[in-house]
Amino acid sequence: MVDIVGFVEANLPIFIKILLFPGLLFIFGFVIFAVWYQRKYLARIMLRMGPVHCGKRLGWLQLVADAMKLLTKELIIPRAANKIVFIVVTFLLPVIPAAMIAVIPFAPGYVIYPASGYSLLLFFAISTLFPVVGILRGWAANNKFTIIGAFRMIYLDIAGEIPVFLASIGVMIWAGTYDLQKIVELQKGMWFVFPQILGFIVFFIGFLGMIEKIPFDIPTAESELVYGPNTEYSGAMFLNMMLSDYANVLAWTLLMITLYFGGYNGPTIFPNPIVNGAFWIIVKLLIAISILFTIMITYARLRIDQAIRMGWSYLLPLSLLNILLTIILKFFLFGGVV
Amino acid sequence: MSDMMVYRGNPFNEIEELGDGMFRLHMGPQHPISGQGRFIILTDGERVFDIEVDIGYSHRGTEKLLEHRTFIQGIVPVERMVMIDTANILMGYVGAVERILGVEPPPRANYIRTIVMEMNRIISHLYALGLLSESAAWNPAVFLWTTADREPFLDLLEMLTGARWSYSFFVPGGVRADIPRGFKERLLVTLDWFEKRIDVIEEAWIYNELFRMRTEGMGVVSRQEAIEWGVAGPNLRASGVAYDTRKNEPYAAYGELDFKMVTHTAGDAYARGWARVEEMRVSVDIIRQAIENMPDGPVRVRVPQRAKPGEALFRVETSRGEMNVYIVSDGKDKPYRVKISPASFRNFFAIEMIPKTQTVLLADAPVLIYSFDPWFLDADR
Amino acid sequence: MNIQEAIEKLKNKFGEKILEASSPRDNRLYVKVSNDVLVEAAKYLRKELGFDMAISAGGTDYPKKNVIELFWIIWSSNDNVTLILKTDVDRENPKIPTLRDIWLGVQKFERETWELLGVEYEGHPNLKPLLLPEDWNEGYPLRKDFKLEPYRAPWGDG
Repeated sequence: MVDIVGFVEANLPIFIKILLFPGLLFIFGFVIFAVWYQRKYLARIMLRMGPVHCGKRLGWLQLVADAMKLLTKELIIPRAANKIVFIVVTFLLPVIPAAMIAVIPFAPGYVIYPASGYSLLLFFAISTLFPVVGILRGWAANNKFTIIGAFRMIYLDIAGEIPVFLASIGVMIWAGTYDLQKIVELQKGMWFVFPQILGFIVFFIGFLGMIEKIPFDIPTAESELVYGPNTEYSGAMFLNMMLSDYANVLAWTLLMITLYFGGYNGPTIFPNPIVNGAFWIIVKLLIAISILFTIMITYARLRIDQAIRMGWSYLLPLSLLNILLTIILKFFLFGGVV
Repeated sequence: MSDMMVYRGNPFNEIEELGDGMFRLHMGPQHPISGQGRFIILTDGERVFDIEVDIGYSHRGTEKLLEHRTFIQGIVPVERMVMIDTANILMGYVGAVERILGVEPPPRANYIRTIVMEMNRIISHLYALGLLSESAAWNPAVFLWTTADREPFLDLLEMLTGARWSYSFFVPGGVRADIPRGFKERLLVTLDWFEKRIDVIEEAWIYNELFRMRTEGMGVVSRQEAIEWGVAGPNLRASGVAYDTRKNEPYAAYGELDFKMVTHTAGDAYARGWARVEEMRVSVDIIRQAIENMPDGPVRVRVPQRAKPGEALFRVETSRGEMNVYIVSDGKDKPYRVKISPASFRNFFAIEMIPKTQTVLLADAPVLIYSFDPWFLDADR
Repeated sequence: MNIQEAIEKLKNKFGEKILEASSPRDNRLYVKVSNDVLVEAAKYLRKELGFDMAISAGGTDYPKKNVIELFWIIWSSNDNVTLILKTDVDRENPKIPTLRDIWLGVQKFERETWELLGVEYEGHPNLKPLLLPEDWNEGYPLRKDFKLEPYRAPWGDG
């Protein structure tokens, strides 16, 4: 007889982490907030008010209304679609960004899965699954728009992933570790964005490609591909796709903050280190997504060939140069100690 | 039955028909751009081999209807062709009718017509620019900006004509009403404000690096091709052909005003977009001059009911390009035959021809289409 | 190029085949040719007289004369003159060589005229329905014997 209550009691901290923070509840909360924030923030730039009818001027109830609408809608599955893959993908896709978030430290020692000191590698390993599942959803729907969108997604991810990986190798060399926890601790004095400025630029552009937002929302290009790989999804399945998209944004933004902007480090406001760390990481997150949304509204979308060319001809050499510069800077000027 | 099931939604059965990896994508028929129509794009995923424009979803038989209506009754069906460009479209018909009836509108009516037409051109160009910015995957920011900038002009038109759209303001022999009190002052204030807004749009959009990456060198129409294909309007001038009906065959008050013709030589999507921005400046200039030089007098003269047998061709510069109206009369109070050749009809032909002459990618297709600012209802008639 | 000169040149070249050539306004040239010299006349107008940009094409039905009068409207980019080139075809068997090889821009207009007026443009590559439904078989709407009654709105408008 398995002692479930005892098991839960013994592992209570990990359950809290998985279910509340930074796990399920936090991801859902962020997605809900981000959708609302995006609507209101972009609306102001477009000289609009954003949603105002549900939930007074702030329009916060609009999300509830939208979610209810999507949940109660009929699930339409195309006749020629591969039904099993089509449905399974919708549940698989949000899991991947959620698993990526599991390795991000939110406070000293507060991480769901420390990965025995290889958390950065694990993050990238999981993130490579995203396009694989992504092409499945494009293929399963058996639609021209989804297939073209899925192929674009693969091209874009390969062109964006490699510069991003190589740019973060600069951080790894500078910090001398794969452990995100240690990387954050090392940034107590100085954020890595300053010594790694070149790497950060490469990382940031690649990061925009990884989260597939304008100027790199090429797979879901609305003007020509309806909604890219997500075209055929309706109702609750569409909700899942939105969830995975925003969770992906969350995971990559958290990684950027962790690698370059000092992670949970910040002046002590709350006496509890966990609350303090979480507070600072959320503040940084808000600033980051505000910048992200501003970029989304001010630029046009790149063409797929331009994006791939940018990835392979500019970002890749720059990221290699960054590794070289990091080695020179660290081992010849600083003597190997940061 | 089972064959039908396989056929529906299965993109791969087209492979046998079209060759390996080729798709036929359908943009439309529900509002691929403003209006109902369809673009059938033959593509292998990224490269576009052929664009076929399928128009006619809102064909109303305007030409046939006009044969069954008196000259003045024809105003309403004609101006419904392009809601956003009512005044210029209507000018084509009214001008042709005046020519076949042999009447000249009074000078004051000509100036009022010019003001209304140029305001309408600004409205139409703003809309076109908004759509072009959206097609290059801008979020609707610029589109909503331009839509908002349109409002003061629509309010002014309502003040003048009583309606925001489709105001049937021009009639054979003049205009329906004189300008109301306070209109001139309000218009001048609006123009001052609008000139600043053009600067903002230009700075935010025309000089935007990513927008230039998307549009420069894309969909190039050379001067020779533009003449060969019969491209119309700002698109023609963007290819370096100095044709503007307002200059070449002046109508209304354009012959008495001094304005510049916007021409570019690049002939790409960027030049077409930019030409529209510059044309809005020219329109502001024209309106200012027209207000300043406006003569006094009546705004409408009586016209005969019946036309003499004969024919007349009237060319007019609408916002989308030159439209010509060819009227044949047999001496009755109805036209015997009206042939309307709208600008979008010709621009659609250019859109079909461009993928045959150069590489167009799938992501370019919307930019290419919007950069011509075509209008399905215009081409459908 | 002077319009009067052009008329003279045309008359010298084609003689009796030019049924009508006039210029009622500035920048307008109406030319009506016999349909057997249409292609030569078009080539001459394009090559020698510089009419290069097609802006319209269409036709008018004359049941009493039993002809369909076709027209092509061409603009000359050098001289800023608009030409209306006309010719008659038999109404019972309306066949005419296409001019799209001379002026590419008339292709879509000829396709439309084929559909709405039933004129067969010989050599035209793309005579497919354009404005009307694909299964339209109720006649040619722009012909004068096409009755509007079945399509009239019940409230009697138009």
